[in-house]
Amino acid sequence: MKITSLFLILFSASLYAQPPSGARMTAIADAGVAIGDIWSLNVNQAGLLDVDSFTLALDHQKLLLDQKISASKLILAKPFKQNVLGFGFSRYGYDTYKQHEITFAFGRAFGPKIATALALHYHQLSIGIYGKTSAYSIDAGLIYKMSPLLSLGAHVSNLNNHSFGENLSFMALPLRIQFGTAYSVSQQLMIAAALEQNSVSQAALKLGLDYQMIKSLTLRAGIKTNPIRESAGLGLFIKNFKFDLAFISQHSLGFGSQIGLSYEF
Amino acid sequence: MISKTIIAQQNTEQQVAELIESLSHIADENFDYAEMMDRINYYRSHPLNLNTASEAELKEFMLLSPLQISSLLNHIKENGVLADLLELQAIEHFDLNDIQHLLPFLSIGLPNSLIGLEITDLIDGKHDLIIRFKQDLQKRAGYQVADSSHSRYEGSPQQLLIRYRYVLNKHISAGINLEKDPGEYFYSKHAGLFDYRAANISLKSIGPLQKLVIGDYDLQFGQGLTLWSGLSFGKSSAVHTLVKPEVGLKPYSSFNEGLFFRGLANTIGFGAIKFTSFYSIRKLDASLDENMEIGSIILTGLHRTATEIAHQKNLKYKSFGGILEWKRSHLNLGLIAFHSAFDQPFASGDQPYNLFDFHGKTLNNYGLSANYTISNSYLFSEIAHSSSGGTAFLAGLLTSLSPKLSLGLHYRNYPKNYHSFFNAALSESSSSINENGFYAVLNFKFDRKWEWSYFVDYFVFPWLKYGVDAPSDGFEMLSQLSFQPNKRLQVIGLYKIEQKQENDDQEQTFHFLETIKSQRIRLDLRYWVNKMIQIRNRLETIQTKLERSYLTYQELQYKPLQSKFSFNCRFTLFKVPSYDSRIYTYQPDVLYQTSIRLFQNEGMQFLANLRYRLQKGLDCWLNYVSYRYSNLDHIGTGLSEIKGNKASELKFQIRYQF
Repeated sequence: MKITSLFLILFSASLYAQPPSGARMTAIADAGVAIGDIWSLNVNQAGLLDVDSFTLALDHQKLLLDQKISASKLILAKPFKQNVLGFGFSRYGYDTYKQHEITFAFGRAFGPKIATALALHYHQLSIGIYGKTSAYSIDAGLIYKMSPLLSLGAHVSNLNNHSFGENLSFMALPLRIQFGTAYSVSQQLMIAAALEQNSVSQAALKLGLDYQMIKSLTLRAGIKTNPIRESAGLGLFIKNFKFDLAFISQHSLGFGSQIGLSYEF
Repeated sequence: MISKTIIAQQNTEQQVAELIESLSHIADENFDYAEMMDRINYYRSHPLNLNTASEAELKEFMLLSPLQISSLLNHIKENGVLADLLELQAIEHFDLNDIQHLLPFLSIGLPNSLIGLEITDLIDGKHDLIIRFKQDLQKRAGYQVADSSHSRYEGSPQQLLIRYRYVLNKHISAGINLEKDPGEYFYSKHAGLFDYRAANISLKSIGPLQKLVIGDYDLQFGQGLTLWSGLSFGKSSAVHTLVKPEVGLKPYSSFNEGLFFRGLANTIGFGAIKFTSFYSIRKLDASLDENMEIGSIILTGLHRTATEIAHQKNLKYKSFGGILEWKRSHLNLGLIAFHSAFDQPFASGDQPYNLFDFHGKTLNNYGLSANYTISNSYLFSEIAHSSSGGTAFLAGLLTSLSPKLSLGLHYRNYPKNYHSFFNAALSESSSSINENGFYAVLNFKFDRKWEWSYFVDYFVFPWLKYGVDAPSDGFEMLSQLSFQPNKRLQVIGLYKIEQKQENDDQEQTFHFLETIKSQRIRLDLRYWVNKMIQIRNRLETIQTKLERSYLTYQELQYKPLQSKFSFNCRFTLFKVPSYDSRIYTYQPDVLYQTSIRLFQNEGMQFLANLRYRLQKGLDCWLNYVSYRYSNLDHIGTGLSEIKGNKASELKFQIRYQF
């Protein structure tokens, strides 16, 4: 069982290229490089500038195929005038494979149209007999709001191209570049598309739809290529609470579900 | 207005061409798409009256999506009949582009008590006769074998086709199709005059008898999982093709000699309930082994050589069944049951990949289909069971999330032991068996100039397939951007990627699977120089792991408004290293002949298609296609081989309407 879990996790790590992002982003196939909200901390930190007040978010993901593997994260973000500070802690894996990540992000807006951010991640990885290692990586992100309807986003992660050392150097910490756009087709409907290229696999196209059915309920769907991963989800808004649910289906990994909660103070 | 209509007609032809090109990966070159052109041409001369058309008639029209049908019917119910076709703009799910495409095929009748009285009611019987003749200008090897003990083409090299329709009034019509393919006997003791004969008499809307067909017919129910014969579309850049327009019983009009029904069928309707029953007996072609067990059913309809003639009509197929349909406001339910019996049994599979194929003599199929319209969404589903054990399921959704964006989703699960001889549900394989998948399609109209279509289909084959010695999976993705800056220019760019698994080509006992990837880029440019002349250009390239192929063509279309004469000609250059990177292209042809061509090897093709109106009701067509290859000294193999690097064919067609 441990061997299958390890296999799965190695496999899924290469699929995700990094631990999963929040449920809202997962549901739209992580195509949110030009979308701003609290979950931007894991996609494009420049999006944190759309957070209006101090916000706390929690997220948890499980694969149905192997219940032991899970991912959890905690995010805090606090805007100050034109700036924003973000903090994230995430844990991914199970007893013999563990990945922890601590993120500090700083974002700054230049006028109402341009948002930029830098982020520093500290990664710690331990795999049973192979031992333990750590690495730092730096991200940079940009969102340009061309019009109230259309945004463009770009993001580079692991800008410094750091990798895990010694016995765990086979675990990739890839350089990853993303470009994307988000377009509000109508007041209810937003479409997001992103292209991702990283240093270890082929380019992937991601496409997501976010449809606000009624004021407090949003439906989402997304599809990502290379490998194909389908996702769907919903978002509920009750006062300052946002509650997100996502389901993913990927041939090799089976089904997974994810739940996220955020509160805006 | 007239020039708009012409452009609209050409756009519709283009739409049809695109749909047909989208099918090219499953249907072969000889597939007859006339059924579709037939319908389009019918509506051109008998525009569909939107104010009186029933839901069934609107579905039969094929160019309307289920959402458009439902909002149109709702609109008429709530606001009364349409006073002007342009009123369609006010109806949800119709945009100006759609309406312009549809205008030539639609009418609204007269907004008074004459509604319901069609113009055709006033005309006595109408005949439509088409005779087509085709011949290769070079002699193929199969005609040059003198010794009758060797394999050779027994008949003459000409193709002769006759198509006759008679419409007495809106209730009664009849049709006859006769054809002799190249290489087949015009007359033989075994098969009689003309190798392929199909005919029917059809009655419509007589009291509770909604339809009755004596002779040859198609049955198209539900989403095609249980019972669907004839043409159907699946994955394409048009969102609405993921829903099958359920037509029910219809007279057979195609020259495809494959699977259709022959006998008697009728549909009776009482209020919300409709019942269709059918009985059919046909003789099919099959390859039989030494135990007289069926290896496979042969659908090509070609009987040129002694072997092909020996297989002709050597299998008797009997089927009967019933379909109960129930409709209540936005909900439609269908219950399907039918029985199939062969006079010889299908052989049990002897290879791992065909282990779960159908075997035995009889099969019962049962299906339950449902569709439901709710505000801006159309939901559909079908579940089907075959007595051989398998239960297949599909469900989908077509929704327009905003007037600019429509989305379609389709989930399918067809187990390896599900069998139906008449299934046409959306699938990657040519039949709906041994396949699970999820298909998503999106169409986004940014504004009147820009339109983007995207689909992605992910599929898994849970059991082995021919040439694939393990369960496998793959995906297909298409992205198409269309730009129409004005009424005269249209540019379309298409990118498609497909990935599948196949056996490696190593010489070993056990094969491993390797991933086969192919990428296609196509650029189309259409330009209307003036009301009479249109120029079309295409550049297409396919990249596989080992090779890259190219094709480019230029086409000139001359269609003056009032002239008796019109023509188009096309010049194509191609360089296709092998079958793996083959390119399919839709090709202009004589009326009702809608062909796609497969291009391979290196060379050029010239094509000319002329139409001349001799007098009102009497038209003739001449079609000439010629190929010249630069890398071949003979074309084709075996009996179809032509010596030299040139091949050409000539086609002549005449239509007489009286």
